[in-house]
Amino acid sequence: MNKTVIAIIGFFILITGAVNAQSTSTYTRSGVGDIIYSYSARSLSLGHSGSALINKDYIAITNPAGWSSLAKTRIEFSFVYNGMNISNSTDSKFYGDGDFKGFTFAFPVSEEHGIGVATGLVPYSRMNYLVEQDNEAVSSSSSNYTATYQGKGGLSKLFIGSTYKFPFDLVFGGTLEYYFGNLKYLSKVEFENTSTFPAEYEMLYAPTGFGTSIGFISPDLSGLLNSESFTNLKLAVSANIISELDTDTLLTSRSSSIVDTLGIGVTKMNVPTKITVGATVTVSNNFTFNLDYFYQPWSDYKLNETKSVNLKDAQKVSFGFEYRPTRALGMSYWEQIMLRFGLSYEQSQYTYYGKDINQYSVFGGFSLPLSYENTIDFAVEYSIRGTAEANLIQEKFIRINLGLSFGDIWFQRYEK
Amino acid sequence: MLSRILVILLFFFISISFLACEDEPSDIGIELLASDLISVRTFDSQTDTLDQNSSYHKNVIQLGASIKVLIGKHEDIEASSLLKFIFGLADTLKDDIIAGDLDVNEAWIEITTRYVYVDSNEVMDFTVHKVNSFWDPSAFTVENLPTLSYETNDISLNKEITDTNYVFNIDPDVVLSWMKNAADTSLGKNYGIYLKPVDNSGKVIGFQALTSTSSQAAKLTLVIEKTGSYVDTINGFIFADVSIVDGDLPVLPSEDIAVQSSISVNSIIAFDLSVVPDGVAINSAELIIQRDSINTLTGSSFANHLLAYFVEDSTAKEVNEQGAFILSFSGNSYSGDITSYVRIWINEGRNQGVMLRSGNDIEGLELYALKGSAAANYAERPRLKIVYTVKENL
Repeated sequence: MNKTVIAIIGFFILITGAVNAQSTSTYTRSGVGDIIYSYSARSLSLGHSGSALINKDYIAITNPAGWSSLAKTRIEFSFVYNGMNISNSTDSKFYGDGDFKGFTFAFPVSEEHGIGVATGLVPYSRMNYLVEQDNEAVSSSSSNYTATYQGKGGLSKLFIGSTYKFPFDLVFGGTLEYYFGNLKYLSKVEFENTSTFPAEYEMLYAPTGFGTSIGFISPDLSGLLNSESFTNLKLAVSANIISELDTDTLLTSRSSSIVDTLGIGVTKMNVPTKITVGATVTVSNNFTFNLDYFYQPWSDYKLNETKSVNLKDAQKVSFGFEYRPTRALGMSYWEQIMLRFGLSYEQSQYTYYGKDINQYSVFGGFSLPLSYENTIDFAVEYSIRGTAEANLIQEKFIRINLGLSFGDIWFQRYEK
Repeated sequence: MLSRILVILLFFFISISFLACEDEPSDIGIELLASDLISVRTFDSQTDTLDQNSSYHKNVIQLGASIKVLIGKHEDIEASSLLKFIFGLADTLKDDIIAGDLDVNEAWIEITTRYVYVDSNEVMDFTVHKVNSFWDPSAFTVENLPTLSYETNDISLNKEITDTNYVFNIDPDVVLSWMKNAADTSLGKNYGIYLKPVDNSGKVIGFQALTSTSSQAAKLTLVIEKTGSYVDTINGFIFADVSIVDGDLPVLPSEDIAVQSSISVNSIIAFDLSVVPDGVAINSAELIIQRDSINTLTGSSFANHLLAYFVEDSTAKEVNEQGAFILSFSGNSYSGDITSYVRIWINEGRNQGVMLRSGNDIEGLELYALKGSAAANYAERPRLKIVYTVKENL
């Protein structure tokens, strides 16, 4: 790997670490936080669409069936910077946060049978909010104090999966997934008068359990269009199913150095199944259009057999476009750059005070080739979620995602 | 080309780092956190309904580590003391003692006044008695006094009393027996002297006791003579001292409780905190005790504060001796932070109250009359002010 690339990665990590503050609003207090539809810069720049894509040169996690045509062994990393402008009817603030988004590793096994194997560690959900409120003393024996509320954590998944291509070109993919993580909710008071000890309550949920993703991608249906301009027309469906998660719970209060355990136990968390339906088509060999629909009935989410009144069924429609130049000898560097664009509309899982929290997003990105099989990928997302009316909040996100995708010939078997 | 791209990327990231300058946390979105909200509340025993009770009791303690030895009387209090002197004798002097060639012509003791309780205009006199039984200054208490063996005759004479010291002669034969003991333990015993106040004493005086630093502790001076050989003046050194203070529980108005040094009298105050919700986090707790200044009696010098101990067993009057909170005096009340006690009372349910002791339990005889839980005026009762944090929907 080029030393300069390593330097860039290091620099990005430095930046993301330096701005480690908050990246979500208090909407994410409900459920398990914001759902991470994809971890990679490529997928982000397509508006998280592309579940029907079969990729030769990158690892998507939306639909495991997409790994069936990997050309090389691949390893991918991703980092993200989250900038968030948050506002209510009277105030507006800007916060930022950086995060390592995960990594994946995949390699082809059999081109003939469309067998590819992928594994990785990626986030499933994230929350990271921090709210402070200044309060006046409640009596002469107290003093002014600041109440701080923080939610941090999320679910992550470790997965391994494979694909198989049936003789009629229907591709199936499936994964075994292990889910784990922490959802930590902290409530804290600190007093102006330092002789009054601070106090905090911490509610911790630590769910663990298994899940699976299964997906299908259809054969090329472009023949139905009867046009040479349209190729690679495919449909896809996938489902992400999570078993009932065993969830350790711990509620503690802390005052000064005294920690008091108020509650401890194990309960169950039910995360609803996510269904994705998608389609893709390539026009004139270089222009790919993707359309995806996501559905996840968060009204079925339960923690300790209790549903959340602030969660409803989530739906999302994403559209993505990719320009991928046809490789040819003599191309200049700039001619090799891939461009992407995306749009999405999401009816998120959140609902507060009877108002649904919806999100509009626009995406863009590009891939710069580092060598024939290696790229550095960029994506930018700008989203608006919620409303500043009715005691609610509006978030304006800007997310900048850096991905690194490396391909090589490790583990490949050569025919004699 | 690649290097150009990398320069662009670096510029890009640097721009991001500037963009990342963020605002301080705000309260935007706090309305959505209903299940996590916490609030600070106060509990004040003076304004909130609370049951409390208080009592005081006597507790015999060892006074050997005190920097004062107390002698005198005040009302039903009688303070007496034990002193023991030793000698550093040269071998030649020991030989003369063993040979029976040495006489003590005169011996006198000087003790320095450090403290007076209560009225300095009162008189205080005492008799001095030779002690015939062993006593341990680190263990001897008023309960051991009946077993102390001492001569009934007064071996002191020529007592000179000033505002700053008492000087008196003692029987030279007694001192000689101590010297014989120093030369050869088989020749005599040295159990010291017992200083007992006379009945008409009206005050208690605290004399400088043996400490590691004070040069004002009791001094024994004696004139010795070997007939036809020499006459010399030498000193004995204070080796041990201990006060023995006897007294009844102070008689106070029914609404008062008491704390008194040396005797010693302690009070226990207990608050029923069942009205405080479970699961709260205690931020601070302050205990305020009103003084009954009319019935409080103090000496010429004292540390004007109380100590609050965590009560482990109120029936057995057992406390955690590892530490105590200071209740400082201000206005007409003693107050201090007892947060950690209240945390245990509420969070662990071990609430048997707080014990009040004198700021220096083994010094002086200060009687702190305090308004107890039965005070007719609610505002004068022991007051507990708690600031606590409670989580909603706990």
